[in-house]
Amino acid sequence: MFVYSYLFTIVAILVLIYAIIRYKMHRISLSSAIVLSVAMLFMILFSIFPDASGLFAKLLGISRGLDFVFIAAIVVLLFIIAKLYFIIEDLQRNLDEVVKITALNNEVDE
Amino acid sequence: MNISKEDKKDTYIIIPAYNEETRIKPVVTEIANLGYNMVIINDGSSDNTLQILKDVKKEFPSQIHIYSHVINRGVGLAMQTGFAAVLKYNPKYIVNIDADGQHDVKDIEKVLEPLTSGRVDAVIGARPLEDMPFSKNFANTVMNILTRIFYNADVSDSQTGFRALTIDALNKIDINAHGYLISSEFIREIHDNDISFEEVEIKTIYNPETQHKGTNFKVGIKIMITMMRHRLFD
Repeated sequence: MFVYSYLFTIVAILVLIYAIIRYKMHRISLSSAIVLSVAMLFMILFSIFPDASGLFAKLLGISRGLDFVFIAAIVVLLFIIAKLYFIIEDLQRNLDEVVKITALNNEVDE
Repeated sequence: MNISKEDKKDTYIIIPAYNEETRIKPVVTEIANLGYNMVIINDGSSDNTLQILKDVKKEFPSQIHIYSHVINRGVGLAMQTGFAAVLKYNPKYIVNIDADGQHDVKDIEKVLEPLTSGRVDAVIGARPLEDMPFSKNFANTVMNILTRIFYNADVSDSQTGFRALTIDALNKIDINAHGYLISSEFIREIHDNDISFEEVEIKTIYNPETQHKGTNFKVGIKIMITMMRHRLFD
């Protein structure tokens, strides 16, 4: 095993523990906890057994294992960006509603 | 063209205002002197706009109603607040005018006349494109084309902030825009709800202070993306 294998494995285990604790504290949803846990389990798998990525690459018709890891990482990142975008949109809408209702309930008198 | 005292009493002018301390007082005073009621939305101004509005309200307490956003959220939300607030006063006609003095308040009569005569339910105060500085002219031409493509509405000034409508029309439309998209969204709502409308030519007063406001390139791109999203997903 190389240095990066240990490093990535430790980081992935820490994130995994963090996700479980956050879920138990009701700070993240079950779906977010599952997505994060699965991503971290794959990170541990590919760190300890780098050749495993080759199997997934072959299944999807991608020539090299490393290419598969990069493509998968980009897809995951795009998913996260899209999710964050929708969360921000919702927050903006909620903020607008609060600002509007506060103004409507407090006509300025003097 | 004369608007009766009764119609003036039934008319409320919505004015969204953001950092207009140097321009808003003459606009509001002139409108009040003409006998109209106003609902003014201070959109989280960081300057003295709110204090100036409070001072003017002391002179015309029954005609001016002020609402204030705790933070700046854009002209679209200020208009949404204005449309919701105005319903408290049972108006017959609602006019929207900019706070920066770029519109001639005497044109209020011009945009009201098609409503009070019962001809239409909505009016858009259109600025002649040839009167605009080149950059504004170009931006407005592009926005008119985009409004036509994405909202199927053909108007000569889609970005005008001077508009008027009856209470019936207001109850039909649904505005959700944050910023300057409100202009195009208003036109889309008029079009989609089959509300009869007319364009009335209005005067526009451009000066260095008002020129940099309104739809610029960055805002235009944002509006275009939002229009595309509405067209594709709504």
